[in-house]
This record gives sequence, structure tokens and C-alpha cells, in this order.
Amino acid sequence: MSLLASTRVINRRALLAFISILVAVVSAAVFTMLVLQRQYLQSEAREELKTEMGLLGDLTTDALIRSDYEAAEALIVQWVHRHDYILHITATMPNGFVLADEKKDIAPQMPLEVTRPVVFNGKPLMTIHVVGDYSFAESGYSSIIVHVSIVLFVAIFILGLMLWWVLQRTAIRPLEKQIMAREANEYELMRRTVELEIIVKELDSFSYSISHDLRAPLRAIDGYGHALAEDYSDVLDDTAHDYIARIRSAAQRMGVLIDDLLTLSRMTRHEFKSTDVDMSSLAHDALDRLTLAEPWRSVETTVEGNVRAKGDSSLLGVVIDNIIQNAWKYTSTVDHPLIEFGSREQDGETIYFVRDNGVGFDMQYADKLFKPFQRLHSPNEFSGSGIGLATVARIIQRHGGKIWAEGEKGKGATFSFTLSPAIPSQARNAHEIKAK
Amino acid sequence: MDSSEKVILLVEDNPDDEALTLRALKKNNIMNEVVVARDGVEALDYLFGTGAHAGRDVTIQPQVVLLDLKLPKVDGLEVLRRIRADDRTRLQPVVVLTTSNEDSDIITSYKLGVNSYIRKPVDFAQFMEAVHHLGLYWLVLNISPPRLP
Repeated sequence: MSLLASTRVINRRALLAFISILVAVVSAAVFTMLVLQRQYLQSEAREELKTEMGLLGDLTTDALIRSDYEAAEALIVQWVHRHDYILHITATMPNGFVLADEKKDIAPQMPLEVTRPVVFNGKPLMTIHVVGDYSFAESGYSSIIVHVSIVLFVAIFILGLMLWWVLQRTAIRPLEKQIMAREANEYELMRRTVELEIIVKELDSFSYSISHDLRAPLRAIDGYGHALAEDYSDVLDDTAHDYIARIRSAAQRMGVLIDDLLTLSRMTRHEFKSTDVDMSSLAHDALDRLTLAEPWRSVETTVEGNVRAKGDSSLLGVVIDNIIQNAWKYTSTVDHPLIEFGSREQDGETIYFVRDNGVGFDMQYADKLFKPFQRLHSPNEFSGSGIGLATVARIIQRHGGKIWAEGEKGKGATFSFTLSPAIPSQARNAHEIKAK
Repeated sequence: MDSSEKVILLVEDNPDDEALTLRALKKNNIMNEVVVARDGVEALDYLFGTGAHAGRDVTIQPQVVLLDLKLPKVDGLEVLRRIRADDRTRLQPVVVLTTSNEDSDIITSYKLGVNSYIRKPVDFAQFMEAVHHLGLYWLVLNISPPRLP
């Protein structure tokens, strides 16, 4: 679950970072707007104040020309008291005489200082210096900006929450579900792997004891049958000898059956090593062995050269051996036996085949051929345990291929198979999967 | 030294197999003394002069040990390992004579330094032949390592 927790933390952090950046950007924008607005207000207020001061100058010019300074001062004081936002005024004559110095006892909120000379016919009459408070010009814009920014922050916060919620619903929760499902799958896979390993180990010890324990009594049956026949040959009549021979042959046959069954199970457990395999040479080897074992037989053989395959060479050796052995066996009763090995391409697949002109089989039993212990001939016709082709089929299955047989009674048989190169070798080594 | 003085140590737990092996040896005119050990411990006791075989002169070792793999108490592979681990028996000829033809058993036996590996066939006639070759090879043709001083 640590993956889940860390995903959550990462998501939350990303969202927080996103919101913080948004807040920072909005804050900067609001701050800039406030500063710009204040600058604008100040310049507007300055202009207005200048105009007002011009009017004051006009108003006092007459009195100043008349040198009626008291009247001028009174006008100035009046003017100050008519204008709330003027806090302090000094009017200075060019000769340094302070005509008026009127100050209100109010602290300025947004101070603004303007100095303006009063001129008549190019002659300076006096200089007015005013300290005003231009907060009067604040027509509520600033508070609007502040309010809007507060609303914006709240909106960002709500949006963030909504985004988180939407993410949770649409992305995080489904992802969490997927992750949880995957973790559950992994656990299940691990459990099954362990189970499989136990089964494989059991199977190993099972086939080991079959190989060892089942064969021991058979050896005793055969051995003591042999001893009986040998040591008591003078007391036993022909029928008794026949019975002993039958007992022994049955024991031996069972020995072969056990061995073949073990081979079959071994083919399933065999570790799969995929290499480039020379099928032609496998076919040659198989035919050479058979010729060596039965040199008196004359069989015409054709092996296509350089037929190659991708697969496990020892398993494919077992396949070729078995199929060619079959062909060898079932051509033993025909006059001019022929065995052919080759390959052909069809639909992008390579089909390998072994063809013979032996006794063949009835197609209606074709599906029985590849099942263990299924035989189409009686043991006194042709010997065999009926496991060879089952082994072959299992090997082909491990290669991801198909095997099939075509034949006609008395006219021979063709065994064809494909090997799929698409399946990775790991998939075939199911018993090798190790639990982590 | 007469070949009949050379002892064969047969390590075999199955009485049927023991009797059949003795019969096969006899039928092949192998007259050597056969010492039978019925489990791994007995085999090691004989080879190292311990337990039931305490006091045996261990400078005289069998001409060949016929060793089954599946044995009670101490199994055949372990017996083989201990034979190879001890200076007194390191060079002792050992032939595995078993039912198993599992690749793992064959490989392990050779890794542990077995001299030969023979699978007991079900067919007694084949077994007779195997014992015939075995006797001829290990008791007549093969030259054993010299006796320990």
C-alpha cells in the first residue's frame, strides 16, 4: 500500500503547488493594480489641486495688486476651509513675507504636496505651497480591488478543492483501484507460483518413486520367474513354462510402460532452452540409429537438407525420433518401405512432416493418436506403449505449435507439425517461476 | 592375489534385488565373497571399520562397491560422498547399480566421482548380461588402486 500512499501525497503536493502559484500570481496582480491605481489617483488629484490653486491665485490677484494683504490672507484662509482635503497652506511673497500659514489639525492619510506661483503680467505675486490629502479621490476602487482579490482567493481555494475532488473521482480513485487490483493480482500470482512449485516438487518426488519403487517389484517378478523356469525346468511342463513366459513378458511390458510414462512427464518438466535446431540432422540421426538397430531392413529414406527450426533441441530430437520410429515400425510389413522427412511453408508458418508408405491408419481414429495409452494396433501386430505420440504432442504443445496426422489404411501416414516462434521461452518454463 | 579373494560390497536394501543380484553373480561364475550392506550406515561401517564392523582391517577394501541409491538411513549419494571425502576410500571403485535413471541422480553421482552408473533393467536376462560385464570388467580387467600402506 506504500505506492498508494505516496501517489496520494504526490498528487496533493502537486495540487498545493498549483494553488500556491495561482495565489502568488493573483496577489502580484492585485498589488500591481493597487499601486498603479494609487499613482493614477495621485496624478489626478495633483492636477485638480493645481487647477483649484490656479483659481485661488486668480481670486487673490486683485487683492494682492491692491496690496490688500489682509483681504488676500482672508481669501486664502476661506479657501482652505472650503476645501476639506487641503490640510496646510503657506503663501509666501517673493520678498519672503509669509502672507498666510493656515494648518488644519488633521493627519494626512495620503499626503500630496503642490507648490504653485501666482503670476500677474509676468510678475510673480506669491508662491502657494499646499499639503493636501488625496484620499478623497479614492472613489472606492481600492476596496473593490481588495474585495475582488478576496473573492478570487476564495474562488481559487474552492476551485482547488473541486479540482482535488474531481481528480479523486476521475483519476486518483480509479488509479488506486487499479493499483490495488494489480497488487492483489501479484499476490495471487505469487501464491499460485508457490503452489505450482510445491506441485512440481511433489510431481518430481512422485515420478522418482514411480521410477524406483514400481520397477523394483517388476524386477522381482521377472527375476524369480526366470529363476523358477531355470531351476525347476525339469519339473515344469510346457504350460507352466508358457505361463512363466507370459508373467515375465507382462512384467517387462509394464517396465517399458513405466519408463515411457516417466519420459512423458519428464518432457513436460524438462527445462526449455530455445536454440536454432538442425531438424535435418536430427532426422538423419534417428534413421541412422534405426538402421544400426535393424540392419537387415532396407528402407528408402529421403531427408530434405538444411531444414531448421527454433526450439529446444533435445525435445525436438525426441519428437523426430518418435515420429520416425513410428514410420520405421509401421513400414516393417510393406514391400518397398519409404520414409520421407521435409518441410513446407504455408500461411507464413513452417510445417514439418514425416511421410511413410506403411500400414497407415483409419482417419476416423486420428484424434486418438496423440492421447496416452491409445493404440490403433494390437500389441502382437505392432508393439508399443501408446505413449510416444502423446509425448510428441506434449512437446509440440510446449513449443506453441500444432501436430496432426493424415493417413489411409494400407497407404501410409503423414505426421505434420508446426512450431510457433511467437511464444517466448519463459512462458514454457512455467515450473521455473520463482517466488520473489 | 586370487580374484576370488577380492570382496564385492553390495549395498542393497531390497531383499529381492539382493537375492537376484547374488544369483546373477553366481550364474556368471563370479565366486568372490559378497558382503551385503542393507543400508547406507552398514556400508559406511564396513568401509571404515566402525559399528558392527569395528576392528575390521580397513587397509583391505572391496574390489568394487555396488551401490544402490535409494537406501534407508543414509542414501547412496551420501555414502558415495563420504567414500570420496575420506582418504582411506577416496580411490575406491564404486559402481552405482540402481533403478533410477533420473538425470539428476546420474549427474550427481558423476559429480561425486562415481566410476560407473548402471541402471538395473526389469528383464532378468538383461540384468544377467549387465552383471556378466560388470564382473568381467571390475574383477578381471580393471586394475584397482594399490592397497593402502
